[in-house]
Amino acid sequence: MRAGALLAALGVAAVAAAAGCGGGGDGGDASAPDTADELDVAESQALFGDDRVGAVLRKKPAAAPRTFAELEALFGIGRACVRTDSKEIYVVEEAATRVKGSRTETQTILPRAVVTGCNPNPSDANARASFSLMAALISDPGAPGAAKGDPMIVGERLEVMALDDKTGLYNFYVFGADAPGSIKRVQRAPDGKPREYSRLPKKKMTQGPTGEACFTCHANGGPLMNEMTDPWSNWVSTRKELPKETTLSGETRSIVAEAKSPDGSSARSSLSNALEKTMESAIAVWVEGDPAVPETGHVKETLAGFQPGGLPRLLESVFCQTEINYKTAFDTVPIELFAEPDAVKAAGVTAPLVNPVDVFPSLMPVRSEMDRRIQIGLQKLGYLSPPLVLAVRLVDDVNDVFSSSRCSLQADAAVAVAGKTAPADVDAALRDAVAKKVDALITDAPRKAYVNALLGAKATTEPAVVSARTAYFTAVKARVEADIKLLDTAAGRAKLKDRAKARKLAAVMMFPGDASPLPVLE
Amino acid sequence: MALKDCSTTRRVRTLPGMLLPSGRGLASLALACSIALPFAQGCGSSSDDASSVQTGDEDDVIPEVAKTLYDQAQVCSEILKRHEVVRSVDLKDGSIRWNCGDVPGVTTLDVKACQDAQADLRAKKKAGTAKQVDADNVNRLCQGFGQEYCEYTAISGGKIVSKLADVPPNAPIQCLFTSVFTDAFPDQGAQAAKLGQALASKENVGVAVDPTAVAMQVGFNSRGAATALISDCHDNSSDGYQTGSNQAAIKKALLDESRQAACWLAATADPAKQTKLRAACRGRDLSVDSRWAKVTALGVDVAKAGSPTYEKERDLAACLAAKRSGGVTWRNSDNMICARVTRAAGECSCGYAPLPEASAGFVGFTFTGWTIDQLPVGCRYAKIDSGKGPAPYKNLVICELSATERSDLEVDDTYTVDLQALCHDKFSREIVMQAPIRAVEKAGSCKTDAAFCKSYEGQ
Repeated sequence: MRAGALLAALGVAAVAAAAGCGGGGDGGDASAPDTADELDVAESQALFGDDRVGAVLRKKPAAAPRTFAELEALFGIGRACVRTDSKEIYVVEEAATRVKGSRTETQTILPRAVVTGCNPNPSDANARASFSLMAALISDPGAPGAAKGDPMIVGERLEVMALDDKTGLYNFYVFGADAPGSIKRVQRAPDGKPREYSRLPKKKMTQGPTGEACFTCHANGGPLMNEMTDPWSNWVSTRKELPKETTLSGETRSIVAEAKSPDGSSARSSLSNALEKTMESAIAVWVEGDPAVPETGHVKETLAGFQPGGLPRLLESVFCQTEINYKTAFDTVPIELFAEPDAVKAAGVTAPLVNPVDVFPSLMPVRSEMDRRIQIGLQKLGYLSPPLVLAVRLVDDVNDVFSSSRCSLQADAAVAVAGKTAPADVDAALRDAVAKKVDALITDAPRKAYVNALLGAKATTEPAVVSARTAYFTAVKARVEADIKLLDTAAGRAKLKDRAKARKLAAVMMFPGDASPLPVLE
Repeated sequence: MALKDCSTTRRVRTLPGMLLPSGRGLASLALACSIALPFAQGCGSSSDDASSVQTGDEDDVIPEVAKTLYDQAQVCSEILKRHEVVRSVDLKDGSIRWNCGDVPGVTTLDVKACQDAQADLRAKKKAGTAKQVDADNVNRLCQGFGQEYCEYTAISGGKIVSKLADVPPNAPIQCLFTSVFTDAFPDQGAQAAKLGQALASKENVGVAVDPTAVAMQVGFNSRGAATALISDCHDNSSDGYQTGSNQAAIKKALLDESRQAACWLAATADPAKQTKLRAACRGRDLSVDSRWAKVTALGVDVAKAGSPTYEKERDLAACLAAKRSGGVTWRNSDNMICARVTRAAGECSCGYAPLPEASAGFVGFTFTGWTIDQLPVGCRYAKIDSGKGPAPYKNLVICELSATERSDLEVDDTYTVDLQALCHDKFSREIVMQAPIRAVEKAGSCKTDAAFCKSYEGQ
């Protein structure tokens, strides 16, 4: 059931709320009367989506997991996954905890884990079995076992997101937030306000505003993996192993060892190399919906008004940014340090090798897979044509994110599409809006000519576009190659580091406060 | 084995194997390589490297070849770093792994131009007029298939497709990865056709596949080339495997390589010394003691056994030998194989036999994963019936584009004119090749005195 329909059916009852998703929130009304451990139809519809959690717990809410081990057994995930090569437990280490729903830096490195839904057939290109259910585990330096190397929280709050078959959106659940056996579902209403449906064992469900902070990290409500590309900084991968002399113990060690056994006692592994592909698929399906089920997915739900912001919000992903990913140099320097990748695609510019004496940047903010995917989602629906999309990227061919010129078009875009519903009309209106600003925003002649050619073309293969592109590629290639040479000198590297630093500052400004998806950037 | 042309790339050395009837093995290859230049000319140490220029068509379309051992040290260092995590497991298992995906810069493929050149070569061979230049042409035009003993193509309806315009609307697209050597079978063409037919089963592609996509096409992706690489790296790993003037030259080269490795690592460890060390080492023949003295004066020395940097430095020095042994210096495969063989042969006295033939069940390096045969999401081994029912065939991997990825192609033009790049970017970096190096050791040849040798023998 969609958020809007649900709220209309149940009415709104204000309930005091406290912390956030990961914050031990207490939005439910604990004084609600006792009931048998059954759900009526309305409660069932509100508390559970049409997802893997609902499929298991709708008829037996008393089976709500109280520990991570119970969660694993109930849903056949994690160590209970039937796969023999991987239990789909992916581990990242960070000098921070998110135990209070916000990021608090710590003195020690702490593990977190993402557990995906167990795909018994990994050769299935869809990977839906993996991303239809995902759980997150965090560590707390104050956990009872932390001093003995067992800091993971496996028995108090269990956070799960499950893909809804009818809406194509993720439903967020927290088990055990209010009491052992409690169930809470958090959902964002069409007005953008998050709400919760909460039930203590043998009590009636309550609902109301929530203090759970799910959407401060999951800004769009979709899956999130900050460090999504090689070398997947801080994740256990082919680039990073857990130290052999790890002092982890207990459940934490048992869970973390599934990423890759530190002592080689098991050959199973769950490397973030594989998680990248799963998350790509998850984001794509969440954005575009299930091809077999019409009108599902974030883009369509937003356009239909069931998610907040409408088309202007979706266009933020095209002109500005709504989420951020973070890239780190490993053997090559991310091309984003020098150019907007889509703008220079096919220009013969490749990411340079790192300077081995000075490998940088680390965790540099770049355009998110989420924004890129939302853009493609709009393209598939016909709201954006390929020439328009490329023209928008070329408005700033240096910065893929935090571009003042490209972001400045966001307001114009919102005005231009007001009242337009037909996809072709939207594309035409956006072309006009961008065309009006080309002279003001683009000063170099080859790029301006290329953008103008694109804005007047139906396809990127038209001769006028190809001709303009050739001249532009010559110019931009020379510019980027000169820029890449900065890697060769200390002064040049300092300049490049300043660029990366400026991006980090912009990311911090984008996500002020600790209740955000920001990783530890330094 | 006689020393072969170590100044040339594996590309050139393997060409005779293409022109000769396939399956003639190492002896033919060695004979064909007897045109090699004398060692002193062809295998100069780093003093020559600075001025040497790699010629040939490959240079137009591949990553730049490092011109000095010092520059090559960075390339090697990155390759070793990429595979650092699997090093200990590989040593224990007696294998060498590398990823199938080519390093950045390897150009993409014009399938038609490649196939035309192949047809031309076949016709000339039939007429007895084939020349080296014709084979060179095939290699140049077809190298985009893949250069890591692994080739990959986008296919649709069983045909190779290089651009979206070649694909019927909404038709599924697969990426097919093959590691079947170009000279895997005595009757290569017939066997490739048979494998292509076998892919018609429902559990595979569902339609017969163009044999060109099923067995590798490029000359250097051959058993002969791989065997020759192992053999050359073995022979060049110690002056003890050489005679006459070659003996002195090898000794000199090994000394230079070990000192270059030490210098490069010292320079990267201490940025303050980088400029001075670079000036003292890059393009210099460090086997000359007076030159090396200038380097040691800057605080550099070759690591001693047991020191913390010893293994890393030895691996790097051995990787540098790949260039001298005919490896293509930017390829993951050549460097990974040669680095390991050079150490095993040079430090442990290991000897190697030619790679097994198809009759022994070996048709190419097998596909695997970084752990327990784990292929990327969406990929599976082809299933081929070799008499006992369909079983996973470790030399063919089929990767399916998801419905989303397929529909992306209709609106996102990143790959519309380059489906080869799509296969590279989506799958090839997580598809892993495995060479069973212990399986081709000459029985009992390896000594296990040194720590590395113990590890190499899985002890």
